[in-house]
Amino acid sequence: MKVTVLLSLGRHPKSGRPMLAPNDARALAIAKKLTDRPRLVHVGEVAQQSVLRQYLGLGFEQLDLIESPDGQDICGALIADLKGNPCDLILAGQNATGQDDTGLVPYIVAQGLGLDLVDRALSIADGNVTQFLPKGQRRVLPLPSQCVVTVSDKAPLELEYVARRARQGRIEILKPESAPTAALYQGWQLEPKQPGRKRLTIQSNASGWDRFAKRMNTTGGGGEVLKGGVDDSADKILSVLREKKLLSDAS
Amino acid sequence: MSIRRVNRFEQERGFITAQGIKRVARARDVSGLDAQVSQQVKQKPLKSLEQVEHRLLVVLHTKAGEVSTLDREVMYVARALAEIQGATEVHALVFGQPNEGLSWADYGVDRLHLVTDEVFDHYVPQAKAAAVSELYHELNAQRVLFGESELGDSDLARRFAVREGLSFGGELYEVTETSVRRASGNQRYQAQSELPQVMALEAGTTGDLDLEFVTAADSSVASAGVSVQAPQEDKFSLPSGDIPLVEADFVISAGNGVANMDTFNRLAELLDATVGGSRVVVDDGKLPRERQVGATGQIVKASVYLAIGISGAVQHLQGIKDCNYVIAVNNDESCDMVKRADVSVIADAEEWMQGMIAKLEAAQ
Repeated sequence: MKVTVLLSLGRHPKSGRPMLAPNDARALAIAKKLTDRPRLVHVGEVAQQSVLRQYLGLGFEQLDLIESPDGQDICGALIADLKGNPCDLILAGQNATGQDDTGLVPYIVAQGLGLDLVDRALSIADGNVTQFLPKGQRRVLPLPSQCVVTVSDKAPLELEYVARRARQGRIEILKPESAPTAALYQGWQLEPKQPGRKRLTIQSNASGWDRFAKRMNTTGGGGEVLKGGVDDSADKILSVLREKKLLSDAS
Repeated sequence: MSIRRVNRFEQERGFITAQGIKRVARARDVSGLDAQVSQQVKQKPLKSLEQVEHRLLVVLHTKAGEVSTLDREVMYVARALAEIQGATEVHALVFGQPNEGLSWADYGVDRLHLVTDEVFDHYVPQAKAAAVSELYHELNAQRVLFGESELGDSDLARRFAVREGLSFGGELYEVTETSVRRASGNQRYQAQSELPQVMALEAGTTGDLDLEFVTAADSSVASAGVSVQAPQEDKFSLPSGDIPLVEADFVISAGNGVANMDTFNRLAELLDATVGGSRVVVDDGKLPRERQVGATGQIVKASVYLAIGISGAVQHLQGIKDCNYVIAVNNDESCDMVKRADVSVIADAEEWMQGMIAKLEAAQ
């Protein structure tokens, strides 16, 4: 099975320095289980080679770096490269942590290559992909023959970093096949994060009396209180749980 | 010289409410206030538009027939944007059969498009994106709004935006009249832009959910328009004991009032609920540390939280602030947990748990 993993650069949450992106490291862990030598691809600046070596330190021999100046659209170069190097499975983290962080790149790549996309994978085994769903739910799907899979941020981080591997690994620098185009999102202005937010509300036409009347009508604190015997209250609670579909109807 | 004290209003005015609070309304006569209030609240004005120039589309999924708080926030934001712009209708595309009791008119939706095909219960995101696209073109919608939820809306928003080549803003935590904000660079930066065409909102973009008017809320059952086959998939739930507390949907929690943990664990097993506990129970070593609910433990987001023998310290109540429905079992009616709970049972914890176990075992 030929597997390609798309790698981005993360940013350390405290220092802000570039580092490996945890979600992409999770994708690498899944790839490593499927094949010994997955292909690692990154589109970006040559200057960031030393940071990309962190991925090689997780137990990989080679990484392909497609050269692209900062601020340019990476998707065009990525799609052109993946068309030239077809593979069975393309893995990527669900979203970057340190770049634009929109989580759109896998979708654009899948669209560009005309492939299916399965999102939020936790693991891939025996031709099945296990998907994360909230509230303790999981879904197992058959893996399409050729597809893009994004890896959930709940997948385990399993690979161990070894500094020797990071030094010995090879980074191959490739020139992009297509001319660089402008970045996807030009309309966004970046600034240091400020605390707080404004909440959108519809301006009220109500008078003071109306607001007063509204407050008077809401009952303050406390719901229904059951003081009867254990039997009655247990029945009531069981019926509530059944209503919320948390108990099967039999019990 | 003595200063004569002048009351700003006569002390005899006003009245005592059911909660024992004295209320004084200076502008009006408050005698018979209850009747006035109930009349006023019942009749919200109906909002109808003479001419419609723009349309906003909200896409959401129902879960067990209910609409999540996040989806209600998204509908409110859509309504607010429509009010600011004027002459704008809000349409909602709903996947899944909603419950009868939901009042879409109160949510500010002008028109509802229900997609109830059974195939959409399965993982068919491309067909869903196609259904959204179809309605988007049919309405010629100005913007499409989604909630940033892991139940499929986040995925659908991105698929739809890429499919149609529209401008996209995801994980938006602030929406104003003209701009949106989201985090970027691993939460170190904020990115600001004009309102994008496809918006995926995080929770907390609005603090208010009640509208002062109702809409006509016509509904129609939209057919999917695309024939798809459900994939062979297997959806399952983790064993309740393996679900992390933060993820769990149904949590049963023990407090100092639970004397016998065996009874408690048996009840949790019969109810198939995830186990949690207050700090006291965890400190006593009756439960592991990762099972602690509260400010120093886990913040749970369960749809039902069953608190047995927990009096409800502030730190514990912080841990359950996101729970939808709280059931308290306590022998002290005046405790804070009973005030927070939607239903409270005033009983001895052990006796009540035994009663529940007997009922559940009899039903098996």
